[in-house]
Amino acid sequence: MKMGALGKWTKKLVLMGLVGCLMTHAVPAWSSPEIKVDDQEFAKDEESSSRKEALSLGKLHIYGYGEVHFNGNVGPTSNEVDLHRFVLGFGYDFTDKILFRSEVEFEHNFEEQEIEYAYIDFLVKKYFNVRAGVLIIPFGITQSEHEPPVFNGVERPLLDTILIPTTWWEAGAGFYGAFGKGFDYQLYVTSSLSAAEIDSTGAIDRSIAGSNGLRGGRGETSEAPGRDIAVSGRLQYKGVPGLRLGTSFYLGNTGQGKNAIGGAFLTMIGADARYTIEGFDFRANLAYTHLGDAANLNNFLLANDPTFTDFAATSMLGWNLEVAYNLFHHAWPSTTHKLIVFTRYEDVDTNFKMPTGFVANPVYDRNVLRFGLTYLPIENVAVKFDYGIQWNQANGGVDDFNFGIGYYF
Amino acid sequence: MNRLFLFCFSFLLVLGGLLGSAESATVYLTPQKALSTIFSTSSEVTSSKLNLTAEQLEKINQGCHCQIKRTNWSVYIAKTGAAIDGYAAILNEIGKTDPITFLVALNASGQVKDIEVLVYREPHGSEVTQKLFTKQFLNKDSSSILTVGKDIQHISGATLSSRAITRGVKKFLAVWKEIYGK
Repeated sequence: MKMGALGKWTKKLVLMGLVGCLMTHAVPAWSSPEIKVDDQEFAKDEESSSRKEALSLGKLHIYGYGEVHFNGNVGPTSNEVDLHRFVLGFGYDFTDKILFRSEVEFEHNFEEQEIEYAYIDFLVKKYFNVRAGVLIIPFGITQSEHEPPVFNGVERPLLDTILIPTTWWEAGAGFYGAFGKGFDYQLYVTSSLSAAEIDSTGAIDRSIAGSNGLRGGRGETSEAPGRDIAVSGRLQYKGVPGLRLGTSFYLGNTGQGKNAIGGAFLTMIGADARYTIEGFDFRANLAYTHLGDAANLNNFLLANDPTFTDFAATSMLGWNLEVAYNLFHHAWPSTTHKLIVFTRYEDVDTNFKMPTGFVANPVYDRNVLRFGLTYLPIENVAVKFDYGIQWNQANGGVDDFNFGIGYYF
Repeated sequence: MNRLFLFCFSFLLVLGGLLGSAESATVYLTPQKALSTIFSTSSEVTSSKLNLTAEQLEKINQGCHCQIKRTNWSVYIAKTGAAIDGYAAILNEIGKTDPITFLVALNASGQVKDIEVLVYREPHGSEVTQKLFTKQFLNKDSSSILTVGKDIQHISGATLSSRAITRGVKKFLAVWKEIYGK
């Protein structure tokens, strides 16, 4: 009885299966057009050997940027004219996948000269490439985007001069790439800052401090201490046209083996956002740093110079907000010139939290309200003017006004 | 610490060197694959060679405010039987220093149906190859403004690549209008 019943169902299943098979063969699963074009025609159509460069030298690339400034201070402090930066970049493509890129910077008309970066890129996949050499620490946006025509105001924002020590480079290697719908990343292992350096006479050469934050920690890969290692990285999102969101970090000791200081572990985290729409350009940046052994560092500096007062903080905090608008966007839509009016508010405190035994200096809790104009006849050239209202928590601060012209190619 | 650093550094260099010889994915799609996918319901795709005269070129350029230099165009026409389903062309427009090769496909009425980047050569700005950018061009036609900053939003940090794609779409729309859109 069971066998018979099974047999009947099996037959039904087989029949259904057969019918199903026939049906799928009778109707195409998907359709696809017949391409009546030969491969050669496509190949010819895709071919494009043209390339555009400032200087067309094939595998050799030459690029650069520069800026001349007039910096004025309201009141008795002196004014200054300065060829602030003259930068030349050299790149060479050894192969399609192995590239060399570098930038040589001359500041203040040869007063300072340095190589901002010099690295070799090994291109592997869109989501994974290798970079090694002297490279720019990927913290914040100004570190990678600081050609004069791409930011407003003559000088770089306070956040990027005092707190994030732009331009900051170290020696090391790491990975970078793009993935997903608009994400890209960089991750490097490099040399680290030095909390304090004493010269041969025993005087303090440079250090992390209150007045200029981490700037004094930079060794600039110039026979710099190489004992400590740092890891830094950046993750960016550009999946919505016009929008860029980013987050960065830096982790590493800065004590460089000085027993009196200890490790002096530095933690930095940052976030930035930018949105451009209908002629408007909104920017926001935030950075927070934490330095371990800050008390030890300050005591070490005092031991070498009992008159030292520019104490380093345990933590620093800074942020800024900027709104810019291209006056020609709606008023003169046919032009390719831009006349941008902007305003930026900054709050940077390099003595945010002090280590035990040290008091914050209110002079280092600074605010700036800057406004100005940037005129771009073409994308590569910017004529800038700005005025900055500056104040700090010690009720001091000197307002400044600046003119500048900058370019990049 | 020094030794560890040196080891990591050299390891990365060697790794990079070994991998550096591998293919880097700049070719996204072949024209055949792009056309098959975009015109999947059509029965065939043929090519029509255009040889624009100097007068035609000048007229087109004046109308769209573009600078088309190319007189020889291959327009790919998708058909089902006698009915035309759409048109497509391959464009090469320079981003920062290198050309971006992409296919612009239009429907039978000359509106943008799809854009597929075939080859992207530059190290940055590849977001323009993705739908998150190209979907902005859907249904645009020769009367559209097609200007970055106006009706097309650029990818942050990839203005030049964004402009390159926009320029190419504008050019093909203008050529289509003159040859097929009358």
